[in-house]
Amino acid sequence: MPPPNTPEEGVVATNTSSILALRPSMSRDGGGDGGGGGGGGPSSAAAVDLRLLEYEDAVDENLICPICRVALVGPVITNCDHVFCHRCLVQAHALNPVCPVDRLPLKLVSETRPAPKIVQNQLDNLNVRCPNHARGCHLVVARSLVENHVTRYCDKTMVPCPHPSCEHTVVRNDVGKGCLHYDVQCEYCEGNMLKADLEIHQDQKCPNRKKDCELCSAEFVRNKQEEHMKECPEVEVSCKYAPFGCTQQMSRKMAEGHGEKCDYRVVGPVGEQLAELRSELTALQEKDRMKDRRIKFLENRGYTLPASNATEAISDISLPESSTNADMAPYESRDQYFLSLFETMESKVERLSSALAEVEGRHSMMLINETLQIKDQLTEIRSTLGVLGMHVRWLMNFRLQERGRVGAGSPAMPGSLAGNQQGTSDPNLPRRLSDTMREHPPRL
Amino acid sequence: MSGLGPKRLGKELTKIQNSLPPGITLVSADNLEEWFLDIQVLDQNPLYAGQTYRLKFKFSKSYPIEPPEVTFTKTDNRPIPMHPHIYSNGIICLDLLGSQGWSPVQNVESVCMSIQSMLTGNTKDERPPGDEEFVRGNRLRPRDIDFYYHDNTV
Repeated sequence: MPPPNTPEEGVVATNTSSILALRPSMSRDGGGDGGGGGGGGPSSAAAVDLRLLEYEDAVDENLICPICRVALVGPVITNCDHVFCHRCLVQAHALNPVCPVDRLPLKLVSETRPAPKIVQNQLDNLNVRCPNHARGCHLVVARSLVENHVTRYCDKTMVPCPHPSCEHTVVRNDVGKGCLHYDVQCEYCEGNMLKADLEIHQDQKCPNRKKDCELCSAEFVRNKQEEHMKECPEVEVSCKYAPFGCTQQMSRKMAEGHGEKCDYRVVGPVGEQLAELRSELTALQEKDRMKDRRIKFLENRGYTLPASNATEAISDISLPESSTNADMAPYESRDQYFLSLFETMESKVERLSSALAEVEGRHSMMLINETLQIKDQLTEIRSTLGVLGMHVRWLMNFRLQERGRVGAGSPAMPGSLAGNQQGTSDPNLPRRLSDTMREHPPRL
Repeated sequence: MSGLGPKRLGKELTKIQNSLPPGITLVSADNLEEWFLDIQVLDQNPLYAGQTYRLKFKFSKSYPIEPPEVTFTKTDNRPIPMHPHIYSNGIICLDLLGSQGWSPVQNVESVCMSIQSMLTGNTKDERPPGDEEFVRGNRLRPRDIDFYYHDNTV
């Protein structure tokens, strides 16, 4: 029943290697669905819909999903050897549980599996344009890397506006400019729009965005006036020998002709040589400075690098390219670079250790100050305690003596009190000796 | 479904704008919802010789998962072809265009070719049984009609 030109699929992957079964099925669902975002929630999960990408080159027909007609995303292969995007197959299968190509009955779970790795690798290597193409990112990158590019690096990705109460999004490049979601008027067409949209509007949409150059009558986008001015053939420029004294001004297209008969052209080559020499000189000076530093370093340490060994040892350490670009510039070789790195590290360590010593000193001073006070108070408390003890002992002795004289008449001082106790505690007085303190606290 | 349909239709359009099989011509595709194509039967079948018929494709949002709605439309010089599976209001009874027979790997071009070959193979100069009644009574959209595919030989 399928019509004569039904696409013949399944040529790609007839090899049903068992290794592939190890891949958890649907692990590659949609590639961009679960991947790079790293659990960033639903918002980042949809960062890049791989099915909407534009491919830089024509994609091999064998890598195209017969359903959506774009390069496969999360390819699955059926037992009847037809390959589809996982999502396409799921959608088609929901409507009609057969293989879309040959219409044989198909069980989604047991009769499909992820396509062979080689197919997925081929798909990953396809070059795609950055989905922010329309906003001006012209990067072309392997499909497997595009999500990473968009979610982390692309300047043109829409991100939430930095203003906490603003719900709009803004391109990543403009995040540093604060909230751009206020109304402005385009100065060319007098339409109202958000500040964030103004640039795109003026570059691409504004009806009055184009303007004829007054000088060369070429048409250019107003917003790019400066760029045009840099190349407009009619703009007045100064002679290329201006640094050597020519004061003439002329249009750019004339400048070439003038250059050939400018009075200062004789000086020109000499001037160029001069500039060359000057730059060479600065380079040499820089080199000299480096050498000086190195010599100083070696002298100070009395340490010599065994030249051959050192280079060998270091040569297999690959320098971190991107991060050192700026630092690397003045250094001629890896040795020097490492040397300087070492020096800076050393000075850092020195600074740190001195800071540490300082902190330690301050700390111990503080401790001493505190503890001294505490010690003083402690001795004070101790002496008061001794005095109290003396009092107590004296009183106890006094009480005992008093009880010893029971019946011999009440003493003069604690008269009524002693008389009360006399009656109650009299019989068991002898064995209560040690407990008296607790049971009848002395009332001072 | 997210934006899959338009992308695929756009691709199909660029393809059929460049080349189409003989006997099929694109008339208009001003948007991604409704296209018109003309088809001719190329062999000397006396029923259709020298005639051109106009097909109307209507695409839903879920194309290509769901089938497009394909009917013949009648204009001054574009009649509805006589065929035991084609009603006089242009509705085509073809399993390919129903939910059951449709497959998302089909495309506009393949549907046209199927219809072309359906006409080519036909010898009966008649409408389907109950045509008048159907044409009078039908208010359903073609894909919702539960056709009885009574004759798979045609």
